[in-house]
Formats: sequence, structure tokens, C-alpha cells
Amino acid sequence: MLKTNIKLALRHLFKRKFNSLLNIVTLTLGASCCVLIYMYVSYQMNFDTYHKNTERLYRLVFELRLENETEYDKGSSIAMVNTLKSAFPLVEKAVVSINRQSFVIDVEANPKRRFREEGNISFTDAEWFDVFTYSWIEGNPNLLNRPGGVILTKKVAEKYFGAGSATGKMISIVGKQFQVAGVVKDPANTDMKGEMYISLSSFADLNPAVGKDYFTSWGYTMSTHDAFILLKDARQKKEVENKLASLVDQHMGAGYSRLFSFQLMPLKDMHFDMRYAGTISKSLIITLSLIGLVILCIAGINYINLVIAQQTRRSAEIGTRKILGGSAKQIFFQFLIESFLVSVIAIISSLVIIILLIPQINSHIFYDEPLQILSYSRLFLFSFSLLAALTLFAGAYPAYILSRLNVSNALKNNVKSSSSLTTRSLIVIQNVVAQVLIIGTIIVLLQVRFLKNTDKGFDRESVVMIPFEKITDQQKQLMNQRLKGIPGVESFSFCYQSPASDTRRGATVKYDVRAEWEPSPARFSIGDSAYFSTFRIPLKYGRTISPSAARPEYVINETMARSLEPKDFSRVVGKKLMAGDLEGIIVGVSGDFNLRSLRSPIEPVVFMEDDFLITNLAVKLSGSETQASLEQVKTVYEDAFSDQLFTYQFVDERIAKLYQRESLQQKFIWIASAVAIAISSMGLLALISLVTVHRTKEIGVRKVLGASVAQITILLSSELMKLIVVSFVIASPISFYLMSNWLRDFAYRIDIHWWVFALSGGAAALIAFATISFQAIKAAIANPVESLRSE
Amino acid sequence: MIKISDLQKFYRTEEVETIALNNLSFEVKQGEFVAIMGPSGCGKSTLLNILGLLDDPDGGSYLFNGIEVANFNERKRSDLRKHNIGFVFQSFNLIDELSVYENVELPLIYTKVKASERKERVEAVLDKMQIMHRKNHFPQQLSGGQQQRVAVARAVVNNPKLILADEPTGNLDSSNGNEVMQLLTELNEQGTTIIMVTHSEHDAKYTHRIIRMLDGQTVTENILV
Ligand SMILES: Nc1ncnc2c1ncn2[C@@H]1O[C@H](COP(=O)(O)OP(=O)(O)OP(=O)(O)O)[C@@H](O)[C@H]1O
Ligand SMILES: [Mg+2]
Repeated sequence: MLKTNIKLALRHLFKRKFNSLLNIVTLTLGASCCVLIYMYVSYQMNFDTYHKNTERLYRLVFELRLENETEYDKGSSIAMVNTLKSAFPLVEKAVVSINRQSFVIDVEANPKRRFREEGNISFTDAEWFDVFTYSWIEGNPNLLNRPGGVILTKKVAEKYFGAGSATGKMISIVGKQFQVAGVVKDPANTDMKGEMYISLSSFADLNPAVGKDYFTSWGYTMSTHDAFILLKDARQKKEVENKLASLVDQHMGAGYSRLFSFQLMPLKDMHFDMRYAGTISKSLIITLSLIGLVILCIAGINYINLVIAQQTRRSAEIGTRKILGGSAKQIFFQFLIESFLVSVIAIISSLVIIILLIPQINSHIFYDEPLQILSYSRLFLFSFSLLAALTLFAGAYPAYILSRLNVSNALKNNVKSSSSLTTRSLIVIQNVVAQVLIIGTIIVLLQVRFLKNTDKGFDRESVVMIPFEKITDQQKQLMNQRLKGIPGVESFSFCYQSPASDTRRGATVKYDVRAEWEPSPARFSIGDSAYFSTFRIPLKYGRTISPSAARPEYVINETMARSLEPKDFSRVVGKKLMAGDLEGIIVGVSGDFNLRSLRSPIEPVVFMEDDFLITNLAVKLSGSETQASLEQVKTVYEDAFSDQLFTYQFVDERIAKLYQRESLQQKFIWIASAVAIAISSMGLLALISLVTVHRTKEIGVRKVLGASVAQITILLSSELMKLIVVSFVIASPISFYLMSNWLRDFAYRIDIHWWVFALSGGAAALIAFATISFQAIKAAIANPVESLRSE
Repeated sequence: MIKISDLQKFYRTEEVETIALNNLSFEVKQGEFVAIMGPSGCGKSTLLNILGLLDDPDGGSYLFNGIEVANFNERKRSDLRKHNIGFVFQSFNLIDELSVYENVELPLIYTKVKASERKERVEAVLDKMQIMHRKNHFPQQLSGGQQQRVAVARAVVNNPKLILADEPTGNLDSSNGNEVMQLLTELNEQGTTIIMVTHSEHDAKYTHRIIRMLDGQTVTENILV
């Protein structure tokens, strides 16, 4: 029985190749989209879940509770970690990694080679590898407990030494020798960015500028200190936090625990808590999953629609079967098996497509963050549940409807099809989803373009950033002279970062003679006096800082000046300012500019010079010969820094990187809406072809009676086109609501213009009309003699 | 075998109510071969659908082998139908996706006959209908006469006590038509009761008795034998 049914189902599928193909293609598209989203979501959901201690691991984070706002950050002081290690019986282990932005590495191979490592350097000790789970290729971490050791991940080890063993080999960092103690595999899904682990005890050696009490003072609480605690018992989290508060009071000053509230964040939340440098919010993951589900639903709806629409063709068969003794149950299963087969084919094709195309998809779409298949077994399990869901929901409903057909009606072909209420509402639902997604895509696209291209209060045009580790006064002077001589260099500045960066530096400030700290903290922007001309930030009052001032000079932005002196903000010039622990004088007021991303509004900013933090040369180029000018800059750079590696990046690219998250959302919604349009177009195509088949005879008669091709095309298309219009009317307010909500997360955002709706509605109508009229015209120009004979 | 009395059937559409069967009564004995005739629209097919338990009447009584079946539910009707009644239609109603063999086998599958026995019975009946050589063909590959022979084979494969035929020769030329009538006569001679709707006086001559209908009622009954 089952065999016969499968055989029969296959014959049905082959017989109506066109419809079966459409069914399979739409389900495949839908399923592929789901699988893609599943891969992304499961990849994100499994960050740092592989450590054997995950359940008992916590990251140290803190809230800085100021009068007007609360700042959230990760990190601690090294001193605090050491205290946790020794003085806390509840704490099994405590580890810290100091993350350094960048180092230039010399590899003593033949020939000697130089690399710049950026964002992947971690100073830590051997215990780190005890707390977190790594898979060792060679060596062990013991050397990290003494100065001069380094552990590499496979990727970096291969880059330096090729395929062979790296253990025991030497590298030099800032001219100091380090021995490779071991190599670990690159973990696929971790937020621990380290690829080069250097002995913690070598930190001071490589960073001579750090203060003597860097390791002992609780004051050095920094977000670059990633501290983790392994508790003996996860239930004692609160106790440890309370104890920490009392230690903060004891070491940082009485009452400080009210200002600095340290907390233990479970490791499994680390990836999702956007307040503490998380990567992706749970709500975004939920939204993505919902989009996947919606796509699956419209693919399913499409399938239901087609199967039901085909019922006229099948009704004689159903009637006959019933007459011959087939029960409703048997007919139900027959149709279910058909759906099952279609779904099996669709799921298998989508798996094959995704697995084969992953490299292409990654290189073209997800180049920032390549998708990976973490576990094939789980992927197959997911596909299997997709299959079950499709068969059950998309298969069972039409099977139920068809198996319940009245026998004598069925035999007479007396069954209404295509225009039934169910079919029509399903078409509307499908198109509403497609149109909401199109509108969403346009708006996200516009907003991302706006984010990436808008400079608030500064000018990024032709500015390149050239990093280095540190710079001496001599080097600065040398470069100053020679850069001025390059005609293609309009202006340059030694600075910390460009505007519109991800800096979080800042502190509370004390103004003038006021006794109290100001209620809002200020962000710090760091660079030399030429920063303003290089980035074209206007000065409103006063002057820029002078290169060799005896005591710190500050330029503050207009927002800050207005909050300090609401009546006349020019009064701030010449007043004292305590920024963090550094007292200086305000010498000027600059225009407002976005120091950070456009997600946040313009904040109070203090601009200052801080040699310790100056790690970039910003060069504004002019003229058309940018490459040639850059070559000249390179020569100057290499003459000044013998131990550095010349690399550069246009500010443009750096800013684009800030909005990676939004770009990714844009890609997903783009894919989803393309798939949704494709699915609903194919649904329309299949439906219109069924409609024309049903009405072949009518079309023939009408033509014999003198109807034109246009009249018949309109006759056949108008009903479906009306549904597209209805969908548009429903989709517009829904998408307006959803997208306004999405935009609310950005301090700076685009307005939603009416033309966005007009555009997407027009596009949807055009695509639908093209799809429908293709078939309709084909039917309309067919020879009426043929169509009359075919009945 | 069949006794209907005061059978009624109405069709309600939005505008009109059609009385398809109007207090119809008659009886058919075991082994009879009966023709039902009448102008188009007089209710012949409606009657056959009710006799075949495809549809239920709106009033009256229907005794099948002495059992009142007028109020049977779908399950019971289907059960009774698949074991006792075979159907032959004007438009054959073969399933296009099934081969000749599979079409004929289908009723046996629904009555849960074992596979080995099915093969035997299907082949026997195909042999009898002289269509064995076409058993792997699909309906579209056959002529009308051949298709109707397959339909008859399918109707009888379960050895039904009653065959209901709705204009079985309506789509056939006279020689193919005669062949089918010959088949039905043979079946009747072997003991199967047959009720046949027809427009052809020629075909009616093969039967024992003609029931003439007009507007949902019987008018006359001619006894031919
Ligand atoms: N499903 C239906 N809905 C409404 N009216 C129907 C339906 N089926 C049949 N009728 C009406 O019932 C009456 C009897 O129809 P029936 O099909 O039984 O006629 P018939 O005698 O078989 O005609 P023909 O010889 O043309 O096949 C007709 O008037 C027909 O219009
Ligand atoms: Mg009829």
C-alpha cells in the first residue's frame, strides 16, 4: 500500500512537471533560507559553550552609576583579580587577559619577516588555559607563567612558520625575544579574540609607559582587562558580588561600591549582552528566527495553495477512488505522501545547495563573518524537523480538504478552485509578507547607507589612518617636517582614533571652581592640535590646543560647553577643567561631531593630547595622486619607525566597520525579501497557469466571439492583481510600524518617506503583473480551435 | 434486492430549488438487468448515485438486501459499497496515473485483499475482458472501447452483487458499445444484478425491464422478458 502510494505520488509529480517543479523550487528556496538562518542563529547561540566549565564561569563587569546615567562596561583591575584569586574561598580560579590593540612582530625566519597583529593579542598566564578549554596541537602553556613565553593559534603559527612545528621557535615583539611555547587550534565560536597569548609578566616589559602600580592599584579598572572567575558553586554568585562590593569600598575608597557596582555575568550571556560589548542581541536573534519562520510559512502557504488549486484536476480521481471504496483516511494519506515526497526533495536540495554554496555565500555575502556549519548532525536534525513541519502543516491541510470532497460533486468536476476564499487569503498573506520585507529592505538599506556615509560635524574625505605602537618626540618632529613637504598631504594629525569610532574612553569631569563632579561624564577624544584641521572640525570659540603647553589644555565640544554654561557657552574658554584625574584648562570650543557611531547621540567631548595613547597618524590627502602621495608618506614613516610596519586604512572603511551589525541585518533582510518575492511570484505563476487551464475552453469561446488578447489578459490577471493591491494596503502600515521601531534604536536616522511604500508597492505589482501576464498572454494568443478541442 | 419507496432528493442553489427525485418508488430483484430511461435532467444519475450510496436521499426509504441504508453514515456506506457495488460510467473515470492493471487492482487494495490473490484475480478479470495484453498501458493509450472494458473489469473485480452503469455506451461507437453490452449481459447471466441508465433504445433491448422516468418520477415500467 505504501509502496503503491509512493509510486503513484511520483507519477503525479512527473505528470505535472511544471507545477511540481514550482512546488519543489519554492519549498527549496524557503527551506534554504531557513537553513541559512538556522546556521547563523545556531552559530551565534553556541558561542563559548564548549568550555568544560561554562556553567560556573563568569565575566567581571561593572556598572558605573552616575547621577544622570549609568555606564556599562566589562573589565576590572589586575589587583582585583589577584585579590579574588587569593582571598576568596568561593572562587576556584580567577584569570585575566590584558588585550592590546596592536604589535609589530618580527619572525626570525629566513628571510626575516614582519607582521602587524591587531586586536588579537592577549597577555595572560597558564591558568587561562585551565579555565577555558583549548585544543592543543603542540606544547603546553607553562612557559606563560614566566616572562618571555608566547602561545599561538594554528592560524598565526602557520602564518609565521608555515606548516611545520612552531614550538621552541623565537619571535620578536618590539625588539624583545619571545619563545613559542605551544600551538592551539583556532576555536570557531568564541568571543576570546586572542590568537597570540603572551606572558602576563612580560606586559610591563613591552609597555614601559604603564604606571608602577598598574598591577597593584584598584584604580586601573579598564575594559581592556578581561577578567573571568570560575566559581566553586554557581549558586554563590550573589555572595561573591556582595563580598566584591565590600572590597571595592575597602580598596578604592568608602562608598565607591555605590558608584562602581561589580557584577558576575554568566559566560553564556557574554555573547548577547550588548551593554557589555556583546556581539548580537537576543532580540535580533529572535527577529531573525522569526523571519526564517515566516519564510517557511509562506513557502508552506504557497504549497497549500497550489495543492488546493489543483483539486479540480484531481477531483475526478478522488471521486473515483471513493467510489471504489477508498476511505477519506486513505485518500488523506495518499496526498500526505505526495507532500512528503515533495518536501523530502526540497529539503535535500536545500541542504545540498547550502552545503555546496557555503564558500560562495560566505565570500559574496557574509565576508565579514563567515557562516560555518558547527555540527552536521544538528543541521540534519534541524532539516528533519523542517521536513516534519512541512509535511504536517503544508501537507496535512490540503490533504484533509481534498479527502473530504463530496463524491458526486467531485466526479462532476463541480469543485470551485482558484478563487476560493482560502486561496485568496493565502495569496494575500504571502504577498503581505513579501511586501513588508521589501519595504523593510529598502528602509534598512537607506539607513545603513545613511549611517555609513554621514559625517556629523567632521569630514572624512580622503583621510587615511596609519597605525603605530608609540611615538617619541624626535620621531614626531622628523615626520612633521617631512610630511609638510609632501604636496599631496593637505594636513595630518597624530591622534588616538578618528571621529566616528568605537572608542569608549571617558570620565567624569569637574568644572571651574565647582566642588561637585558634573552629573554627566564626558568622552575623551585624543590627538594633537592639527586634529581639527585634518578632520575639518570647526572651532567655535578660542583656539586649538598648543603643542607644547606647560599644563594640559582642553578643547570641549559645543554640547559640553552648553551644559556647563547654559547662558553663554563661550564663557567656558579659559576655565579650569578636571577631566578624570588630570586638571587642565579649556582653551577652545569645537563644533559638535560624532565621536562614536550614529547609534548614539552627540555626547559631551573633551579633546586632549595624551602621548601614551597616540597610536595613529591621520593624513588628509589632496589631489588625485593619492597612491603616489601615500608612497611618499610610507617612505617618511619607514624612515621614522625602523621597528614598525606601514599599513593604512581609509577612514571610510573604518566607519563602515562600525556598522557591521547593521550590514548583516541588511543582508539577511535582503535575502529574506528576495526569497519571499521569488516564492510568492512562483505561487502566482502556478496559480495563474492553473486558472488558465481551467478556463481554456472559456478563453477559446471568448476569442471565437471576438475578444482581443488584451481583454483576455486583463480578464485573467485582474482578479490576482486586486489581491496584490489588497496586500499592499495591509503591508504598508505593518511595515511602517515595524521599521519605525527598528529605527528608534538610532540616535540619527532617516525619515520614512512615502515613496518607499510607493516604490515597493510598484515593484511588487510590477513583478506580479509580469508573472501573471506572461501566462495570461500565452493563453490569450493560443489558437482557439486548439483550446476548444482539448476539452 | 433493492427496494426504494417515496425517495426524495432536492438540490438547493441560491436562487432555485430543484426536485431531482419526487417520491420515487420501485423494486429490483436479485439477478435482474434493469434499464432506466428518461429525458435529460429527469434525475437518472441522481437516482443512481443514491442507489450506489454515493449520495444520501432527502426523504423516503432505501432497503438494500432488506437493510435500511438511507440513513447510513459515510463510513458504513463506504463499507457496504466497496464490497457489494461496482460502477461503470459514461466517461470511464479511470485514474490516469495508474496503469490498466493498477486501475483494476485498486478496489481489491481498498477491500484489503492479499497481494498474491489480487494478482490472480486482476489477471483473471483482465483475461475475461480480453484486455490482458494491455495491462501495463495507461488509460490515455487506449481506445474508448478498451477504456470502458477496463472500467467494467474494475467494476467486477470484487465480485459485486450489483453493478450500476450510467450511460456506459454514451461515449462509444456502436460496435464498441455492443461489445460492452455483451459483457454486461454475460455478467448478468452469471448472476450479477445490473441497473443501467441509458438513452439508447437499442441498448435497452439487452435488459429485462425498462423503468421510464420523467421529472423525478417513474412513469411506466416495460417488461421485456
Ligand atoms: N449538484 C447539483 N446541484 C444542483 N442541481 C443538480 C445537481 N445535480 C443535479 N441537479 C439537478 O437535478 C436534476 C437531475 O439531474 P440528473 O443529473 O440526475 O439528470 P439526468 O437524468 O442524469 O440527466 P442526463 O440524462 O442529462 O444525464 C437536474 O435538473 C439537475 O439540474
Ligand atoms: Mg445523467
